[in-house]
Amino acid sequence: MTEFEQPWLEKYRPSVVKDIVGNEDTVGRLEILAQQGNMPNLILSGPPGTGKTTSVLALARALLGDSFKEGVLELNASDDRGIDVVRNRIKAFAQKKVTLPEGRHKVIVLDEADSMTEGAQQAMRRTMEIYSSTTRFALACNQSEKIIEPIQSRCAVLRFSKLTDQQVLKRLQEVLDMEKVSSNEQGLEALVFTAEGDMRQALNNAQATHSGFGFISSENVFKVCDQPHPLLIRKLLHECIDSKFDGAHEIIEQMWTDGYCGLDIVGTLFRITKFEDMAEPLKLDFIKEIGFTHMRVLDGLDTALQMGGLVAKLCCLSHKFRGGKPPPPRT
Amino acid sequence: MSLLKRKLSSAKPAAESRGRPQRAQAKMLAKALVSNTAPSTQQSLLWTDKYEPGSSASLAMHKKKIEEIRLWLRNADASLQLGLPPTPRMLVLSGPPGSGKSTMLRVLARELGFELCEWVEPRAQGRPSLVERERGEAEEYESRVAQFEAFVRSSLRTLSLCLGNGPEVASTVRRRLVLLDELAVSSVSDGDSPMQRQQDILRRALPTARFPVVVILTAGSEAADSVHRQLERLAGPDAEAQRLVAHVNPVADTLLLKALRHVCAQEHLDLPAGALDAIVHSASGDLRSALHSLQFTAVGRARPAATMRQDRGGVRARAAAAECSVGRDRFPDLFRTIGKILNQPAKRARQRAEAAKPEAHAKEQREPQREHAEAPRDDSDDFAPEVVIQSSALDEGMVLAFLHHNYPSFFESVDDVADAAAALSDAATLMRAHSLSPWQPQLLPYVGSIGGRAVVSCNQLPAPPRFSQISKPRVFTVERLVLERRQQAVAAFLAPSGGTLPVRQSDIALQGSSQLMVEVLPMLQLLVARDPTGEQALTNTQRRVLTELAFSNSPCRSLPLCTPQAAAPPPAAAAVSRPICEAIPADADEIEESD
Repeated sequence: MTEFEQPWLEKYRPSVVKDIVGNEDTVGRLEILAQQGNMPNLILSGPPGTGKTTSVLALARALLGDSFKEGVLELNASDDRGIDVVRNRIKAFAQKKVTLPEGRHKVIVLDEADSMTEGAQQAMRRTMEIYSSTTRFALACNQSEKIIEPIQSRCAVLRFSKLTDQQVLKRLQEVLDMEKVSSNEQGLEALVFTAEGDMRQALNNAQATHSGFGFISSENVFKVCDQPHPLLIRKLLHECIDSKFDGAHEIIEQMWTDGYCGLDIVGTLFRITKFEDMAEPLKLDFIKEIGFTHMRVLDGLDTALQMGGLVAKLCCLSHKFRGGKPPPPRT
Repeated sequence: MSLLKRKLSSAKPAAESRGRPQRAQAKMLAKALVSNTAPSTQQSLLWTDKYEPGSSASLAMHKKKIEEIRLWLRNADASLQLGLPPTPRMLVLSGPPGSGKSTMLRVLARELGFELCEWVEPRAQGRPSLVERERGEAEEYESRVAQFEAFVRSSLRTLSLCLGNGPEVASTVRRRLVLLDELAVSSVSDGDSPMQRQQDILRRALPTARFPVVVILTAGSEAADSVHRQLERLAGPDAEAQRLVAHVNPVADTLLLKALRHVCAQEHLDLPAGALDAIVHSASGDLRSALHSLQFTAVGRARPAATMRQDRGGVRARAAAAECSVGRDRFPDLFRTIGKILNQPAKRARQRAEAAKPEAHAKEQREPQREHAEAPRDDSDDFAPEVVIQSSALDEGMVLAFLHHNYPSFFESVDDVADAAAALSDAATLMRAHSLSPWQPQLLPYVGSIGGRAVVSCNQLPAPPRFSQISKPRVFTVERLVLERRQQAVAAFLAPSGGTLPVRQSDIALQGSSQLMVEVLPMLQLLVARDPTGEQALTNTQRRVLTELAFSNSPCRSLPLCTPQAAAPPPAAAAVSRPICEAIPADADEIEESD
């Protein structure tokens, strides 16, 4: 029996503010805050996997030190956070007596605050003011507009944006080095591609690939994440640009028999096309066509015929774009 | 019981002294409730608390408004003391968050010597607080509404006797202001909600009130609007005299700036000139938010030293401040993003011109290039609108609306505009598909991508650089108007005082206004026609809504029936109800035919 393996996500979650990847401006500010104390009420908003919860917890740890356990109340969407919890638990915590370092406050961390009901948020606003001398709030959410205006007015809003691929890659490499996992460059690239700026996803995929195959290569990563291989999709795209319907359709057929559904194919095709190096007007036309196909697939028209039709249309578009001339030879 | 529920205005840090004995008592009470061993030194306060104005002179609010409220307070109190009924007993104070509603009332109450009696949501049962346990009331079960009722009853009628045993307490505190700040707000308005019951309690208590009541409403959100409407109806039309509605405007930018400067001076802060402007700008009239931003921006900035002194140049400092600071409002961000996307072609053209300076026929060169695309275009400067939109964390629909509203002024050639329009309309189609099934977010990236690329890559011949203001699309106004109208219609037909028409709220809310006209109005017309006393069946509001629906919102403006005279608002009840009834069928037919 091997010992229980902790998720890398938790194992390598930064516990100090300065270790947090990306969003340098915001994190730098939080770092100073951690040194100075007197944290204002905060709203941290941004897409998933960008380090909102991590930074709040790291900040609280830096502020409260040893009394972190008593001085922090963390509630997330899995906890009941109806109006009664706000009235009882949060208020009770705000009134609780805790010995803290000089000039520090208790911290209430509300994760996924955008899923709190409006009533619960309304009930919170006076609490935030009455106990502001002893308790501060930190709300993490994906969309700050889901937080009602009066609460927004009481907080400083910090925005987190998606991490860049370089940032994800750097951190990923650090973790893989520490875990002593063998990998190749394509594998890392594939991990970054599937993560889409989401650190959590990157780490989870890396761990899944590692425990499944032991070696991180692009094939293994895409097998684990179960997406059509981007190289295959890129080949498909190039066939379309060159107006070679036969080749393109062959790829589609192969993917279809591999069991990928239209959503997988179209979604990956879109992400490849976005950043592909091709003539811009043509790219726009392609994206339009892909978008409409995606819409149809979402409406339930998920057939091989749709995929074939999409490829055919893309071929026609590029044919028309070139004015009927044969494609230039590809290097 | 009443002790617990009353939060006197002095639950403030102990450092402030007000010099009134009964406040000291209350302070002790408040401290017992809000106790924490960490001493709340001046250092660790929020600036919104630390710099709370102490007098009405330092309030960041229009002087006239303060005077108005002060006058009302005095009058209401005087007439209530003397038992004169007609002055309004209840004031509804509404305004956006952070405009100083509560602060003003606290300051005024302190200055006029009122005892402030504030409704605070009680903690739930089962966990009785210390005070309650001491007084042996822990086992008493009371629902929240009942607690509210008890609070309203006791606070509106009787003065508290238990506060303090100093002799002057009973004699000086004769006046009281009851403040209801945290009324349960919910957007649903079914008859049995706690909110409804709270309102009933309030309505019943008002006629016998002995002290003025102020209800504070935070306007802006949709829920607050609906509450506002309900409060409008609260006392019914006959009790108009008992209630007064005052609106507090957002804090003016100049006042905001003044307040921030004051705080900066007190804190010995040396912020670059642009930073304060940026904070004021992004706070959009919310003083509390501005102070938070200021405090947050000031964190880590060396107090008297100047770390940012080198870039005092307004624009850069402003941009930097806006970037690192907090702007709760998205619009600065939004305008920057949209501007970035729309200006991209011009920027490219500039770069190209710089790259090939001697080439005089740049214009002629580009034209054929576009049609035949002989060579791969060399302007691949890796501009990806997707990245721009993503990093700005904006809603794609909003980006699209803004692009759509602003793009033509950045174009020079009509053909390009046509191309862009085609692409934008495609993006709008996808957006619509998304809004029909909002649980599927997969289509959203396409919207941003197509929209952003449309205005960039279709714009082959960018307009010469000139000052072009990016403006807010009117779509939002229209949408808001539609929503308002619909609510108005719903409210008009559901009003308790009106005739009982068989219109359910869900029917109207679900359908568009055209369906409302086609399906509901003919039925109404039938009802009105069948009822010989049809004039009484409709209330004034209903009639007005009907007229508006029939005349302004339909394609029948050209019909001879709808002369401007007929479309004018109805002067009297009996005179107008006939023309409406004639107009409706014509209207409905028109729509049915055109379908």
